[in-house]
Amino acid sequence: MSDDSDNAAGELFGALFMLMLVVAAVMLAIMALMSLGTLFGAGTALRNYGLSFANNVKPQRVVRP
Amino acid sequence: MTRTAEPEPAIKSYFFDKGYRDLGATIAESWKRNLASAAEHFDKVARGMPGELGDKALAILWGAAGISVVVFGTAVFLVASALHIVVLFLFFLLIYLGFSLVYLTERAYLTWKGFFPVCPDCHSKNPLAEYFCPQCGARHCRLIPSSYGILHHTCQCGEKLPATFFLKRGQLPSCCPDCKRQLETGHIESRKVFIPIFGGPSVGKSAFLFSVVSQLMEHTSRPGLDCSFLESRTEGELARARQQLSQGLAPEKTISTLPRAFNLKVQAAGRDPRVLYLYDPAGEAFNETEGLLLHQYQAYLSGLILLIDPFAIADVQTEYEERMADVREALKPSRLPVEVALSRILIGLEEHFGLGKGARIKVPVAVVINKIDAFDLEQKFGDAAGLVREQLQIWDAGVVQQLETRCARLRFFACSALGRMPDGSAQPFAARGVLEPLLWLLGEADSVFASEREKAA
Repeated sequence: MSDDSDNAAGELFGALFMLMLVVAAVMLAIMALMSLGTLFGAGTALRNYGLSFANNVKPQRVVRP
Repeated sequence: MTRTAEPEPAIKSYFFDKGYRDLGATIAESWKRNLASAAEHFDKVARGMPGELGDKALAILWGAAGISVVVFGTAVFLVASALHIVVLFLFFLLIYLGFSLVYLTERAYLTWKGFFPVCPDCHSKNPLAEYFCPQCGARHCRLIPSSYGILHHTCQCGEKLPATFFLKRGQLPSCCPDCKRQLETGHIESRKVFIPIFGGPSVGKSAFLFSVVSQLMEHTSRPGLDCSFLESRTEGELARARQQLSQGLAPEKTISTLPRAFNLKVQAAGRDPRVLYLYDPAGEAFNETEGLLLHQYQAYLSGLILLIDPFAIADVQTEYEERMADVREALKPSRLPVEVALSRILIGLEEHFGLGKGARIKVPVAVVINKIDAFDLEQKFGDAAGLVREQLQIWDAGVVQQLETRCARLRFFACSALGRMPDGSAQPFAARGVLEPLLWLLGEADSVFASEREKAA
């Protein structure tokens, strides 16, 4: 009787452990994707500022008649 | 005089003008680009979420990227803008310090040299003339080290103009800020001596002016002293007057009560040239006290010549009454009594040109008795200044007393601006004694001419 209950508990822990591993893997994947996204977004923002700077910051030009 | 600040026809320094417009445009454009990027990423999220697992994963990536673009975009543009502002402000400060330093150095140097623009026409004294662009003719009212440039201003036509005395700004065409008449370099960048010839109508001021200038040109034609014209106009005027004098014709009477200065450039060897401003106002200006109101040069006089017609003095008229009857037309005695002319000069100076009530005139005053060629006056005066004073004292003690009370540096002279009575003959006029008063005044007014004063004495 006690052997059966020990086995069931072991299986439950095993299943829970496996579930935790899966959840952790999914979370890790999501976090990795989010980090990647964040880096990409930051890069985009920096590139946007650079492009805007290049487009707008120019020395004054004299138009000779 | 207050002037509305007109915008200069020049291009302002980038760090005082366009830099800030560029900063604003950069911020606005980067913010627009961030919003567009974020919207694009969020669109991808909306398209990916209902799909397969792989699409969902990508949707997460794009969602994070969209949020990040907004968050980091804001942070990036805040940090970048702050950096941009700091850089702009640093350059702004550097340029501000640069032009302030150059401007103050220039002002100090010009003050030390005694250089300031004085208009020979309207007589206004200004700290700065207005300059014209030699390329397009645009008028630059404030061609000084400023936010338009430290050493040069760039005209809107693209021409680079020197913005400081040290870079020969004075060689640009220029005009008076008040009357807009053309100025020569000498009217601006030179030490000046201002001497008006005062006296009532018909005392012989014009004849005195042309005779003294003519003699000064001859006097300075020797080594060590150089006298030249500042403008061709003046040269032409003197040439005409000389021709008239050589033909026995008296110079034409001055009509304008507000005279244009007669300029000459006088340079002693090894010294900076001085520009002489001689003024010959019409005698009618002395007919009323307010007649001298517009004669702004009285505010910055270097000396004064008071020309006296002895035949305007009552005692002289009585003494020579019989002999004058035949030559009255040629003699043209002034109808304005000397004491009246003197009082009007003094009242004018007191009311409009800062002379204290009853105070003494600090600049040297040469009192010159003209027309001594008439009758036996020359024998009465002799050569010594003391004799001139004594004779004037005999004729009009009141005038001598008033002169000595009100003038701190005074000297008496006698001259004949024409050299003889204008009797209609073509015999040339040859002035006598006209140069000494001017040389004495120059020596008193400016140490450069001290040796000339000694020679004259």
